[in-house]
Amino acid sequence: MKRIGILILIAGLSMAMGCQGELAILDGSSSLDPGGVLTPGGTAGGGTGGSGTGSEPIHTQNPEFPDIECSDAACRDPQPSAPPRFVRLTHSQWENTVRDLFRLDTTGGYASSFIQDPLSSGNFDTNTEVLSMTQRLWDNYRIAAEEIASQIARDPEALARIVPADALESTNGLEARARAFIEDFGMRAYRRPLSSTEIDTHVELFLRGAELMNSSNAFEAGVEVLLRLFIQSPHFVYRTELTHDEARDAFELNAFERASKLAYALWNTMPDDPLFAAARRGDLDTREGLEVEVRRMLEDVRAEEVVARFNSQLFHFKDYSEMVKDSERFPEFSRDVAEDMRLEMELFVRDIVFNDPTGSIESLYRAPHSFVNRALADIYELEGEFDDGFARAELDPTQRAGILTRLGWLAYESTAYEKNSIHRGVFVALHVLCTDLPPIPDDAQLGDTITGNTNRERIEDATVGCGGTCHGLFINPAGFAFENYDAVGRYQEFEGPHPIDASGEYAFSTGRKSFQNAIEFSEIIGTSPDAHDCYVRNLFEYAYGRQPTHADEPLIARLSQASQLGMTGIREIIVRLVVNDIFVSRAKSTVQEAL
Amino acid sequence: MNWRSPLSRRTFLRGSFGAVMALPFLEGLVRVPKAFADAHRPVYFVAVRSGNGVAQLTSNEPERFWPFERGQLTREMLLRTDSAGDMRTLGELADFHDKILVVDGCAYNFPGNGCGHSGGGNQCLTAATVSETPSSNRSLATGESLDYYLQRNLSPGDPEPLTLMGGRTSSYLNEVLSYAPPLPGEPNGRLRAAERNPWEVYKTIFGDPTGSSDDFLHNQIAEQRRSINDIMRDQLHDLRRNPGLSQADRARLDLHQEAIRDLEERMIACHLHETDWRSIETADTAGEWRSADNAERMLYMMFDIVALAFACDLKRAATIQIGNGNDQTVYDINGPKHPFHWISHRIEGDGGVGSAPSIAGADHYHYQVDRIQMRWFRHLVARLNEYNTEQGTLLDDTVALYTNDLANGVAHSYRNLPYVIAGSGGGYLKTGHYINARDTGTTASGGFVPHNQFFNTIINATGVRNADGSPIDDFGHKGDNRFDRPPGGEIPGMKA
Repeated sequence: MKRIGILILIAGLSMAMGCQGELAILDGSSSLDPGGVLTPGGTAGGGTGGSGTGSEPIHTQNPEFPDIECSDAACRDPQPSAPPRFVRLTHSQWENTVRDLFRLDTTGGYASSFIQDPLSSGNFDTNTEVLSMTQRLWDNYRIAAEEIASQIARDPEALARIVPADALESTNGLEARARAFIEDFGMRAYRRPLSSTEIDTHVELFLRGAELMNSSNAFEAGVEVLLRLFIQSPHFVYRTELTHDEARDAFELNAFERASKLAYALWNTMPDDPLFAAARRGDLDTREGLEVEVRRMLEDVRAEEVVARFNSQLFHFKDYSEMVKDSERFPEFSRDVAEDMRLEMELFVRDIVFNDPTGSIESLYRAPHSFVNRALADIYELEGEFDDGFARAELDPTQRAGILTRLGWLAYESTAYEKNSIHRGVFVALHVLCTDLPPIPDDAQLGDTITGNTNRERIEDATVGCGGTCHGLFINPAGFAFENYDAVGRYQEFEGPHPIDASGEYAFSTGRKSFQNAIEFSEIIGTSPDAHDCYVRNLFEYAYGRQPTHADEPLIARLSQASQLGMTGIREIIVRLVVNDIFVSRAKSTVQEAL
Repeated sequence: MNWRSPLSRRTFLRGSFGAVMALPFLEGLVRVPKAFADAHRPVYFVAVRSGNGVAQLTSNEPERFWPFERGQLTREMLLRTDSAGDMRTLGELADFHDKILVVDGCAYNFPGNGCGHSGGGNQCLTAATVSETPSSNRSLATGESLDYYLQRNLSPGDPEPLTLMGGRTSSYLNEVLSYAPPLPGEPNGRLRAAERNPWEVYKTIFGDPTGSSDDFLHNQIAEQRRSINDIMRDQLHDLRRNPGLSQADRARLDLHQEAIRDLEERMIACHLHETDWRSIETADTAGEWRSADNAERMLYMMFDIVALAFACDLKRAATIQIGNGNDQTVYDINGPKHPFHWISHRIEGDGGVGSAPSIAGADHYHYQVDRIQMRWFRHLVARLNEYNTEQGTLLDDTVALYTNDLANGVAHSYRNLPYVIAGSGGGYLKTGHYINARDTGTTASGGFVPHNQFFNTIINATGVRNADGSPIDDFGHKGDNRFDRPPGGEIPGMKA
């Protein structure tokens, strides 16, 4: 893909920095040095030499799945990158973090009034490079912090949830109570233990609370003024990666940085108490300990929400509320039905990832079941009794296979009047198969007189002048595969008196493959290396908050290879994405200036 | 870059409001002391951007936008109608015929990268190239926009311009207009989010008028915030001292440091009439700002806020984006209630000709939308013109630009961009005229004048100069291995 060209350049720069060697960070032999920097066993100091520069194959078996022979990039070792070290929380992360920090049941909705970040230049809202600070957002943070601090500090029940018992005990001295509160709550707010200097600074502010808040209740006032600080602080609004060793090209994140990185990737929020405890114990310093925590986290509903969130951005079902349909042609469509379609997609992907026996990418593209209510059952033309609630339904396997034959995707990739074969084809090429499509020529024009009896014939007529590259090989065949579904996703075999032709031949990276309809196309997609690579690549981009670089390709290749061979499901892919060296380490920044 | 007359914002505020008057009123006078004003006349910049191009002359559609004749603009000429009884879109500005400058003959100098709308938005105020990566509807400008450039040069301690938006939003293409410069080591500018809630903007700029006016309370709040801010500043300072930070990481912390402001800077006795700010507050509490159906009212509120912010010298640059990137707002026209983007494509859909039924008479519907948007722009112009100064009005000291990120909708053309300026920028611009940029500007290979020259002229009108005092002549793309630098300099015909 085009982006790879840039990334290869970056990787080249990285390699030019010198050989980094294999970190072997998670082999259980790591230890924490006195400075708080993890040192791989026997590899302290600068570049470690040896294998694993990322450019040469060094394995014969897939290191993540040793039963499989590796090929191409999967035989190399991935290398750490140097992403931003101050990663601003997304608005949803901020909201969830406030909820969990104050041990609330629900989010407060404060972030709904925050200025929205501009659309990400990538596929996902976790893109770290887009997330920056502005005066306007800082104002938002301040206003929210003052409101939250006021509510919490003046509510004894709320205070009891966040203030340790010894700090609540009024017979203790004010400063002692302040220290107890700051050490305990501060660790959770900043997601790491506070230094003694930091504690002193915070105690000082706490003790000024009564004066600053003009209050006779010194403890309550101290808590309020400190809460304001805690949730406006850069230590709160950024997830930081500060570990650094000037003498080395790459280094491991410390245990608390790992905990936060894991929590935001898997839960979209701060670490919980067990994860903090694991960090304190050093459990996250080994592959085994890290994996135990990751598997625990994937059992939590917050992981399900993140999986749904990732897929809602990948398949765009977060945007279904924007759909408009012509009411005369599609009287069955409404805003409520659009929301039903979104919910169907969410239930389907959650089911595939967390309940399906294989939980595989192949199932995502081929499973014939779904979750419907009465409105959707009508469009699917299902027999049986349905009400407003959603229930699992087996769809006609000759008409429906996987997520690309679900109503929402088909309807969203349509106009208000007609299926949009070109949009459908572009989506499949870009987001399902990660095919590199050249940009649309700026002077691209469709003719004034477009003829044809069917939608397909008209599009073929309109795009015949575009040559055989983008439309002929990729866009048109991928879009035409779904010709049997109208603009709300209803199955159809005829357009008026004219039979629909959904057959085609798509140019996969492994060669051209032909199909008769969407069912066959979905089957090919579900078993194609391209689709597995693409889904893993997107998962990587979401979890890491950046697009993969050349140095990341080995990890993506290992996981997609195993997935395509049926050796792993999506849950396991998520585990392997984060339980590995490059997730818990970083390279020295390549662009620096002297202090 | 230097501002020609460096001036403390707070000095200006004391001069204009502290000693002379407590509150500026829309129908009242913002009287700047004459001696002060003679020495220091700040110039302001605001751009109102619409999308989808304007209904202007193409191979198969008639001219509906530009005035009938170039040269001196008169009220009568602007109000002239064609055989169908339609005046040109710019006839909506007839009341300000002597205060507007109309410029045709300009074009973007670079191609888009896969999406005409996005590529147009990328270049609209930046005169920069469109990103190689990302592409299509996610493409970005590779440089900063004019509003950001002017704000940070004219008000160095407050580098962020006002960035506002009304009308529809869309997940396909939303904000397109305002860009901060790229962070060190990054290839693309930073697209800036636009504010859509007028009340949030109002409170940010002027403070919350519903709050207490008790001095003691204000001082107490100020002390609370300052105490916390001081610690946060120290925290940011400590973070910045961490070894091994990249330039981009430091720049992120610097942005955060700049964003922190203490309360006393907001203690400004500068508000709209209570009936006006109450209606803005109600738009917030009732959630009216969230609906594109209320676009006109929300935009009017934003125009009022921008005018007051300029009158109080609290901002020097602002943008107001009408609608999302490929504006899907449904306008109240004498015709079908279709999204504007459909109308601009002349079909009942977002695709190309033939992918949906045609809309008969769509070019006239497009013209009607243009008229609506020009009336909105007129509201802003009128507001600016209502603030009097010793020398004239605030409008005279402003460059208020109406533009569109496309020349026309069907072809997504980047040539013959619609440019209308209201206000002379302190007398620098030749208002009251309709000119052809090609008569005096330097054309590029396509025969049009690259729009960086249009921006150079505006920049010089605001008083920004090179360090050696020479005029700015190189705003925008400076040339790289993809695209040469376009011809620079000003468009002399724009100058008075």
